[in-house]
Amino acid sequence: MIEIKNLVKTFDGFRALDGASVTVPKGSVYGLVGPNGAGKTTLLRHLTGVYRQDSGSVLIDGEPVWEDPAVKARMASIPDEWYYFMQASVRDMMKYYRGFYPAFNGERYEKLKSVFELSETQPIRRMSKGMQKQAAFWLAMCCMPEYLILDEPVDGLDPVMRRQVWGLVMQDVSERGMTVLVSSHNLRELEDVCDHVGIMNRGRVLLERSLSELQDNTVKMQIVFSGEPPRLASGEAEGFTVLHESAVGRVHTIILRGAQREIEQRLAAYQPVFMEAVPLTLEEIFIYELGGADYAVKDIIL
Amino acid sequence: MRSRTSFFNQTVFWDDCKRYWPLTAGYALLWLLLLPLSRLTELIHGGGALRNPYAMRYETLGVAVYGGYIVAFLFGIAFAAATLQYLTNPRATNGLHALPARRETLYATHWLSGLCCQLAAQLLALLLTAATLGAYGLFDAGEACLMLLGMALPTVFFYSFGAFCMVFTGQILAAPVFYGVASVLVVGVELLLRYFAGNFLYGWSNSGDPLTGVLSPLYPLLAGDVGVRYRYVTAADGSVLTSLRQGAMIEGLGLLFAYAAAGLVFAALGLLVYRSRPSEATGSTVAIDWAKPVFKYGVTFCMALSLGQLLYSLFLGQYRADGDASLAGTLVCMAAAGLLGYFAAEMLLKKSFRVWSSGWKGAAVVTALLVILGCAMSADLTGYEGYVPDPAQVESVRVDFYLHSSGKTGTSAFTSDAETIRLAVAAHRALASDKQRQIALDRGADGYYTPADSDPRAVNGTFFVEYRLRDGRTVTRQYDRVTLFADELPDPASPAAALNAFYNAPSVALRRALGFNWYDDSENDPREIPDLRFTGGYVTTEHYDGEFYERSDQYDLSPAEAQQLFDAIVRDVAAGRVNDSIFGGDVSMDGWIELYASYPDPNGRAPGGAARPDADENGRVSVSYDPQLTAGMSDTIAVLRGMGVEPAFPAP
Repeated sequence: MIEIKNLVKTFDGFRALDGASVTVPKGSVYGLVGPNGAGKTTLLRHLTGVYRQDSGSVLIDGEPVWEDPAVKARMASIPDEWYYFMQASVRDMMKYYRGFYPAFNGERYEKLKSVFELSETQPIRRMSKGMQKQAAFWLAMCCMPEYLILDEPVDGLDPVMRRQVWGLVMQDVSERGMTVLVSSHNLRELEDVCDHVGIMNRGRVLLERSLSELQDNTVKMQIVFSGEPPRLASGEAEGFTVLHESAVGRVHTIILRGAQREIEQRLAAYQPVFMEAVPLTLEEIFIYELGGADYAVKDIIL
Repeated sequence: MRSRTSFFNQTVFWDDCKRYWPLTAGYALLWLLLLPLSRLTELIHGGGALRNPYAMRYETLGVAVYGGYIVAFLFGIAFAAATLQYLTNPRATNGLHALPARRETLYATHWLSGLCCQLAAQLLALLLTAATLGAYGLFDAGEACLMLLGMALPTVFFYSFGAFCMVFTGQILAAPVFYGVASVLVVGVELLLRYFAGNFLYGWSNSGDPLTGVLSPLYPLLAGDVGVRYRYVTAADGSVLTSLRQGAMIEGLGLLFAYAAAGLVFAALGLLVYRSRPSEATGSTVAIDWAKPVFKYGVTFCMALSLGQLLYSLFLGQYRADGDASLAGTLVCMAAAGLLGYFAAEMLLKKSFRVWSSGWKGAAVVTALLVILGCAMSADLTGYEGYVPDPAQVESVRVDFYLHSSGKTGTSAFTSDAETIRLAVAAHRALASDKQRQIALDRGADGYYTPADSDPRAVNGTFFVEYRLRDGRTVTRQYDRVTLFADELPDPASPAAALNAFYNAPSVALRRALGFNWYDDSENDPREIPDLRFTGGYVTTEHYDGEFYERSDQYDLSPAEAQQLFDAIVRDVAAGRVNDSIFGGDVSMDGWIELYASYPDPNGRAPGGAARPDADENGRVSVSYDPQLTAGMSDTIAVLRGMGVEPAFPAP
């Protein structure tokens, strides 16, 4: 299990992490989402032992990550900018990784050749961004990590390769119980693979829940009232936590926090002509949760 | 459970060796050119090498030692930059620090790989050199070991120092700058401080080697503290000591070992810094938080001292005497240069040009400190200018007194004679108390002309004095462009009278009479040299017929005649018959007298001790005297006449 508690990191007076806490259950796929500058990459760099925290703790299975090769050997990471040596080929980097990761699997490396179809001897710097990402996945998966840390992992990959890569990752999750912590802005994709989600903003984790909990706790209702609609967002109708409200004609779309059944029962008291609960996407949850944290989509007229 | 700390990772080591092979190959090629190939060329084409094997071995060791020092300096930072370059690239830093290895492992392995690459190349060059020399029967295992030491010890130091610089900064371009500046920084600051003191302190002496030379690793090579010399062994055969040339050895080998040890300390410090160095510091000019103010104020101080003083001397101080610098002018120049350095350092640290608002407080502090420093120096708070030691405290004194405008060249002294010390102290005191007038005279001289240039009763000179006190301290003072007036001779407290009295002190006059105008270590008072034996000499006289000089035949002196002549000179000086003065006096004889003598090598008296390089095979050191005969030296003239030599003197 990954446990990050009250993590604080300051860069030249700027508090990049302000008491962030994350708990990633073993065997889960945890999506870390948040606006640009929220502190996701900084948090992941603490988790991979690159940065040392000002305060707080970063633990994997109860052991601090910082300067513990035994813990780090159980973890592989693909950062947003994967590093390779200037002249190195995939084969050179494979040898380098093999020297660090005791569990490095040469057999898997050979098997994955057919998946990635990259030249083993071509300098990596001459590969496209997507091919470099493939190389990073190839090597990371051969390290047989118990924990895989991914920062914008499929950025640059084509749709086929994205599916291929996620297939490999999910296979390891299901077969070996690998734990994945992934940071991405591609919420649609995260929705497909993640079972847990954490939303970060301004160096803090605003909420973290399993995806089903998250979706159960936020409801999107499309509703048509018979007369004058109640002003739910203004507080006239007490007891509702409205994240967003909009109307097209008489059709009102209201996103509320709470259990779907309870909200439906309470809205029924207004005797609507039509009422339906619509599935909420992760993107909508992200947008409307952050809207409450002063990070809303602004209506801009140019 | 935490894993054990390891300082070595095989993968990193071999990867470094493979990845940086072009650098290692270039380094090895340079050494192959410097050593085996140059030796082979010398042996094939230079027959003299075989006739003089010691010279060949001396030269080979010289290449290893001098070359080793310079190559180590140049390649030290290059190898450090190669193996630790990932610390200057954020992507690389993050990539490598995410790997399952401790910081200690990464640093120590990278450091070791760079060192091993250099040592392997040196070993290869050495083996080939040994084979080359061995083929001609010139191989000496001991000297081969010395060569290896001469190459390897500076390498350990400079490479480790380079590694420290790499860890210290997060910018690849800043590392060689730090490295180069730090290699001469301490001695440079000392020299700048000396210059600064000289601007304000009357009598300031810049003599003597820098005290901090050893703290600037390039300095020992430039100063000759590290090098090569022939190795002599003094053997005792009964009462006869013999010095034999046994080959070559490294001068300053102990210093090289000390530097190598310091290198290991730097390597260890680098490790400590690396451990505390945050990964996010990559890209910063200074990667360590505590070092940032040191860097900022260090740059400020150095800029104020260097550029500030340069500006002052270029625009304001060219025609100022020592100790007479304009305080306001110096402070303005130094504050301007210091502030320039301060804001430049602030920009580098903040990575921004907008540093005024955040840096003005520090700038104000810097300016205030520079003003205080300048005022303190100008006010002579330490009492430097007025200090004159009590003659009773002085163990020995050395004086160099140059005269620039009286037809005399001056005189020197190095003696523990109490009377001479008393006279030297009196001369020093007279000059120190004449500060205001001397500075006014010099100021009026407009930089070039002094009153002595237009006034025949005045002379101009430089007086340098160095006291060795009984408590072990050394005190030095130097007064440049001193103007002395003959009219003041009757006043015993005047500088003219005090300096003239010193000039005519018996031990000083004897040195001058024997032709020692300037100080030299070998030119001790001949009366104090044990077992001084005269070996000969010659006399050549000239007669001026009003139009041409006619030179007589050379009269060669036997050892006994040389001794006789020397004794006569000593008697004349003791009797005060030299009749000399800084303002004139008797003129010297036309012609030359040369006396040759030798004495036992003071360094080689103990069998097996290191002999002086100029000692002969009998362990004796030669010395020659060039007596200056004046018309009043009646005993000496009588001795010469007894030998049939008639000295002639020019008309006064």
